[in-house]
Amino acid sequence: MPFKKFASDDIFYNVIKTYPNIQVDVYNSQTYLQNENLVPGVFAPSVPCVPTGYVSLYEMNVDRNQSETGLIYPFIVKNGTLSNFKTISTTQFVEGFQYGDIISSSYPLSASITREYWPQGAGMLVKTPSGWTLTAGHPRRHLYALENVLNYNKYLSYHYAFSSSLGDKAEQQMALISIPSIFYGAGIKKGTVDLKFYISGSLIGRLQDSLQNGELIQTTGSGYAQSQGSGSTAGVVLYNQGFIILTGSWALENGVTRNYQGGPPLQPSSWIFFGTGIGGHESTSGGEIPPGTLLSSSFRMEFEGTQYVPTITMFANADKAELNYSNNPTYLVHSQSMIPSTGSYIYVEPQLTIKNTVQTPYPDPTGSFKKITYISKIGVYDNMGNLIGIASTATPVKKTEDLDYTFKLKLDF
Amino acid sequence: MATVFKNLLSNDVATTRTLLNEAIPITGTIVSGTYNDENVKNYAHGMFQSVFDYPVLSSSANHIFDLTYGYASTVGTASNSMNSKKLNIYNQMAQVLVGYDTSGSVRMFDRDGDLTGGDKLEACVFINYARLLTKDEIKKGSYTITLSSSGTPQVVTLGDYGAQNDYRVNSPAGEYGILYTASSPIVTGSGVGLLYYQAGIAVISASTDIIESASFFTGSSTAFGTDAWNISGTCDYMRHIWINNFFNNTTELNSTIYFCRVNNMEFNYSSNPTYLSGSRINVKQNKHDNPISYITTVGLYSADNELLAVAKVSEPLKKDPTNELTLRVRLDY
Repeated sequence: MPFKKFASDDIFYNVIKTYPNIQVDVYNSQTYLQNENLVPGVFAPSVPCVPTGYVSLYEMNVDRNQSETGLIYPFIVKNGTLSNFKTISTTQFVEGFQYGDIISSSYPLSASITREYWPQGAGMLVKTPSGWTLTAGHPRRHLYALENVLNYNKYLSYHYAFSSSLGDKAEQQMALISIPSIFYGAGIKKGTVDLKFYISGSLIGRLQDSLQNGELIQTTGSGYAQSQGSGSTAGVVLYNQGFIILTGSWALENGVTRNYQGGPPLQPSSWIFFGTGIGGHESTSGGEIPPGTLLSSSFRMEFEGTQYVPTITMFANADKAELNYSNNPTYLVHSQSMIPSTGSYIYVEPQLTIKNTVQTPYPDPTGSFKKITYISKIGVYDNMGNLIGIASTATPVKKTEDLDYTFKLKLDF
Repeated sequence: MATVFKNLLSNDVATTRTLLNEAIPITGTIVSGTYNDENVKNYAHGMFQSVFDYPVLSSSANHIFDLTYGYASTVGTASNSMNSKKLNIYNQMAQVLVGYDTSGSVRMFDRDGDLTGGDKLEACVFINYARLLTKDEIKKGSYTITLSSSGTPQVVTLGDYGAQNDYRVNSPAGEYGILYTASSPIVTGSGVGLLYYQAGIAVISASTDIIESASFFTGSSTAFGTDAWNISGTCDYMRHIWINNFFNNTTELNSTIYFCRVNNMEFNYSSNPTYLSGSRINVKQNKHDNPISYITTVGLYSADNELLAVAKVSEPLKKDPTNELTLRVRLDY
């Protein structure tokens, strides 16, 4: 098999930019991703072995449970490379395992969208004479971690400012929706975030980042909701980091209160309660909102992610008078002796006859001989001669000495 | 942005390889019975069938293995069902997994891996595991498959017992081990199948004269499936006698470790704008104080000074002329 080197203009590197659409629905403390309902399996309560709205990383344990079918799980043997699972602490790794011991982990690994809610003044870091302390409630440590990136984005909108005349995110009533990057890829596409707030199936408010600067602006809604906040900014989006921060506390319903905090006092519907039930530290006590708590409100969140797909395009040229010989045994006339003549001073391989496959109307062709091969595969080798990829043609391509071809190979990864 | 570069020397770079394993159970309830064969896909050509872990039409389904059956020309007769296809299957698998002899003929599967002679596996069931399950290779010595038998004993377990230290390397498809019916004693030449670790293919003999006491395959006197059964019928039978299957896979994780050594008189100054205030170093109270910096990030650069990778420390490391650090940066790929 001959090798042929790619020339510099035979290889192109490109990146395809894609925008996958993501839709998340929340109702009664259940999350539904891309309109997928719960599918109960024979062995597991959910076929992918993760709840609805979750993304399973490897998707290996499909409809399995430990007792019936066994779960696929990973493990490593402790050795000198010091490789370890992230779930095992350094202390555990050093003291809990001997060299040669098996360290196991578990599947499925999953990712899900979470929401954290803070009432006014909850979880704040305050300075007292005895030092820094936290106020009651779920700590705002995730919010404090975003302080720098929020302030950095002030050039887009002043609503990003961590602390300003518009409010202090360290103490105001607000919600933080965290979206893992497996949902969107490299970033959320600007101008595609769309949040819809429903009461009993009716749309009462809609937020969109229509200015593409991260501000979530109320664009449509019920008459009352529009009278309260039409055109107002109810929050901001951190596109590259995958966070939505909601601070809009104006009422979207007139005189109606609901159990958005997992307990009293009841609260009027507003944007800070968008996504209640999605999971996370949502109640005033810092826990999740249990099913059955909030039956009238439902939410839809849509956005587009950004994913980059690197591609390599390779042009494999089969020029004239090239690739006209095959090592395939059927290329030669059948039943020829391949045994070489050897002696004390000679080694002569026999002259072998190539099968004449020139098409003729006669059963035994005797026409002019032509070298004909059929190209069925193209192997791609690295500079060490290792086969690293194979491209197969849909049908074998007939190659004669007076024909030349260019095969376009494309590799996505 | 770094303003000081330090070259990595040859003894600052080390490579390691970690083997990550996964335990894979494939119970008989998955391959037959539970889903009324909706997780099994048969093709119009009838030459093999694909088995999934969930009904095929679901997007959740994963392909877990293909099953097929073939035999050598020494046991095939033209009157058998799908005779030519069974011959083709055997020859195709054999030429990939066993290769050719010096005359250019396809070798047959050998019972003990010694290709120079001995018993051959003339009729075989082939289990081609999906790469999703086998990853880089099946871990040697971890494979067992339990099948129900029509003979005695009623249940037989095949395994590549002892393969951690005893495997063959004379296959063009990589390393392979012998499947035995008992872990102890392992009798040389008593194998009833072969397991190709890198290819992820189990070859199990269907010949009753090979399997002898563990005659879990029924059929004609020489091999099951050589009669009126077609290939998919043989595969169905194999799935229905399947009680359990277990193996560990292996993924090789290659790592390069860069030892970034910070000597006492190095990296004690920062180009960060906050380091200076009015042309005075913030962390120095008077001119005799040592300069101090805090290391938060290690950048790995190419020979052309292109930033290739960034490593972060969990908390800033204080650096002054009185201490030295070695930062171990590991790059997995």
